[in-house]
Amino acid sequence: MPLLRRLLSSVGVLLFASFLSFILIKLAPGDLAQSIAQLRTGAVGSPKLLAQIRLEYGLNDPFIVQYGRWLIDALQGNLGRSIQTNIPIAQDVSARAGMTFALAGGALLFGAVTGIGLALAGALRPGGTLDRILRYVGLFAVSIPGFALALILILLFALKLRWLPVTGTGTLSGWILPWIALGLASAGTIARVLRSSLADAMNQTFVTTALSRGYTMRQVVFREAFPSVLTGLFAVLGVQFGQLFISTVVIEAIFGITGLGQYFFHAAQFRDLPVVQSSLFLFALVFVGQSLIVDFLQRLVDPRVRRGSSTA
Amino acid sequence: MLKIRLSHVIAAAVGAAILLTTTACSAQSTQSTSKTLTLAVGHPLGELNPRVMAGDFPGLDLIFEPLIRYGRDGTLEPALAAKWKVATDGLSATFDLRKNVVFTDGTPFDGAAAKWNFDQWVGKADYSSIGASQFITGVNVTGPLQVTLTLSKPYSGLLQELSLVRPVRFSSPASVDSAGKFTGPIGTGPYSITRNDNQGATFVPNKKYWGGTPKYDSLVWRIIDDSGSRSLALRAGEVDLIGGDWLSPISPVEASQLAKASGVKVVTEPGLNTLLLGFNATTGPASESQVRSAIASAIDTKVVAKVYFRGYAKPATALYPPAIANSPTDTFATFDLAKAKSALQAAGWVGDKSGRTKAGAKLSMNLLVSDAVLPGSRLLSQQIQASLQELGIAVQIQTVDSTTYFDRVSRGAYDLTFYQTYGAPYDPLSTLTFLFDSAGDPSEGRIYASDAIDAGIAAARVAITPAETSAAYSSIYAAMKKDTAFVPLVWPSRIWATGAKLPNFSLAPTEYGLPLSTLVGK
Repeated sequence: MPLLRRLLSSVGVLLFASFLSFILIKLAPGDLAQSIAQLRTGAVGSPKLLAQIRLEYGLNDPFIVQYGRWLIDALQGNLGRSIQTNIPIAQDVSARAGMTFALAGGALLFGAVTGIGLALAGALRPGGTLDRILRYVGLFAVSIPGFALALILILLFALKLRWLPVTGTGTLSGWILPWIALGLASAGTIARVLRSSLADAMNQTFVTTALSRGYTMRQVVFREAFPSVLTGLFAVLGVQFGQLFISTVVIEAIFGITGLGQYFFHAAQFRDLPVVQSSLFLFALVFVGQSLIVDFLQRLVDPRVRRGSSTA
Repeated sequence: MLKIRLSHVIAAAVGAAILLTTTACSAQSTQSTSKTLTLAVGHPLGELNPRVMAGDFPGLDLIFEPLIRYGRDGTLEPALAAKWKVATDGLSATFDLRKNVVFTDGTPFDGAAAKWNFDQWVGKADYSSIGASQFITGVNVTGPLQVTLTLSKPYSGLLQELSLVRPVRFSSPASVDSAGKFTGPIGTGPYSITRNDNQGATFVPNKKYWGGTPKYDSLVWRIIDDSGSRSLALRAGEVDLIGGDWLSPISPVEASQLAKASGVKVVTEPGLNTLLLGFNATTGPASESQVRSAIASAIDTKVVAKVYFRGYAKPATALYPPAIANSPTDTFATFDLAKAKSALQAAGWVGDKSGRTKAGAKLSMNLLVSDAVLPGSRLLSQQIQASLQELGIAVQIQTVDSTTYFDRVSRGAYDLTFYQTYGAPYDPLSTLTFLFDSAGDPSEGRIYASDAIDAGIAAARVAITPAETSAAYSSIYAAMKKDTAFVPLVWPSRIWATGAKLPNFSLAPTEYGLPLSTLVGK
């Protein structure tokens, strides 16, 4: 029942997000018909052509009718056509979504493996040299902007050493630099949050009890402390995925990855409003989706969440 | 129990890694061979239908050919028309079509196919920006390989407009279905397209091409959005060619960096466009001709070319660069700060560097800028601001997006703004028609309008003989100079860059296509 309620509320959030984005698009300055005319004919929007475009796109209808028509079409998978390219948006989105999910997913995997590894390595010897070094590494990873890291990686590994390509996702080697450039900040965040949670967990009585019963530090960290912070870790991973998904815009541009980020960015730049509208809806969908998955995973690993308790 | 759960987590992570790797590897490989040329393009090619004003210009140019091709310095060369003749009264033009030309689907290119193509755009509202669309009143097949156009009035831009890429190029009548819906790009050009997706495109040779043998087994277009990354990909040898206004623009800063890189050659040619500073000559301070004249004398265009364009531009002295047909021979004002100051003083704007006033009003102007419309113009606006500050004119830079820019220029809601001429193959007539003619559509702004300029444009449009044409354009340029209608700033260079595979690359006549000499052998 709680899961059903959660699903229903997600649908409500999506509807609200789509409605809000529709309003924002309508409030944007400039005449949509004029934008379409300029993109379609290269320049001129004669009154006759503008009237024809308004009729074609139903721009004379009341706002709520326009929104309803868009929503019904969107639910049927028809997101309209890009003004710039005249290609159906759903076709572009489905062709590009794989690239963006592969980029954000790979970066999250890299960030999670690296971040969890760093946090666990630090937790095994709290306050030790390795722990201190790892804290600085984590701080560096969080601090360096993705685009700067991307350029440093390209200059070093693609132009200087020639180990990896600058662009191109046709081979696995083409993905390595984008995953690192996008995922390193996540690795730092995950490492810092997890290290701090593990430090708290290590002060709990069940850890002291385990140590007094003769368990080794490694056994305590892996069997007692780490499982107790999994719920929080899933929440962090969920938030990170959302952030990574948004951050793909820059990384896609630098590495020549033709994903959703660049598609939406160009649409916003050139007022391709049908694409902008669809993109806002899709971003909302991704955030709602990741939030649902995190909820589901938390319920799976933590009986307290299943029972509806708020105790972490 | 706990061990099992942890192992589930690890298994899920490994599974995800394998899934992602598979996704990554399943994308199409674009390995180069010796007969493959790889180009970087900044955007998807879009629908390659010559009648839709959205498809990529160089891509369309490879597939679809015109009757007449725009050559160097504006010479018009035979393409699908072997020869043509315009009637002495200018009211008809007859085109003898080239023999033995077929579309890639096997359909012959003949009078009927040519007429079908004209009928797709002549007189249609969507193509009202093409003058020929309004002037042509009849398209008649006057022989198996001959087509004759009749016109309502003589139109001097006719032949040049027939060299454009959109919408006048010729596609197979079989490229639309029975309902008139476009089914795919089928042309007569040297290459045809086999893949066009969001990763890029692949072109293969047209074995039936009439004009020679295409040199490459495949032309691979790779989409790389960021211009800096395109430069890096060229330096790493991942692509062979970048550049051009419509393929993958290179900024002057990037060009100066590429010029120092090994294995890369930067190829430039004098530009075909003019970047100019436009005034609002209707209201505000710039409605005074002496203020316009002072501003024109206060901007050192040599500095603009050297500093902001890193030498990849020439100081402009008139509306069009010399490579444009019927371009001006007379030049506008040159940099002279003392003259600029005295012009303002004479106009009653008294004061100095710290500010000027007239009847209590401060001499202040806004400068409307959009980097989306003119990349790099925001930075350039600071140079203009500093130059006018020297004169005592306070300039507020207003940076806006493209829609707001067009909205404001169409209403004349600015004091100063940047404009760019259309360049070849559109000029000299198109910039005058859309940005100067007071009867034209104002959606892209009006640089300057006057009765003398209107009369000159009307005369240029219907001019038949070279002498009439030359006289009409001269009258326009003289009126512009007399009124200081704008400030010509620079002629930005055409910038391309090649890798080791293209040692002897030379540019196409315009930025709208790729050089045939590079792609097709005789």
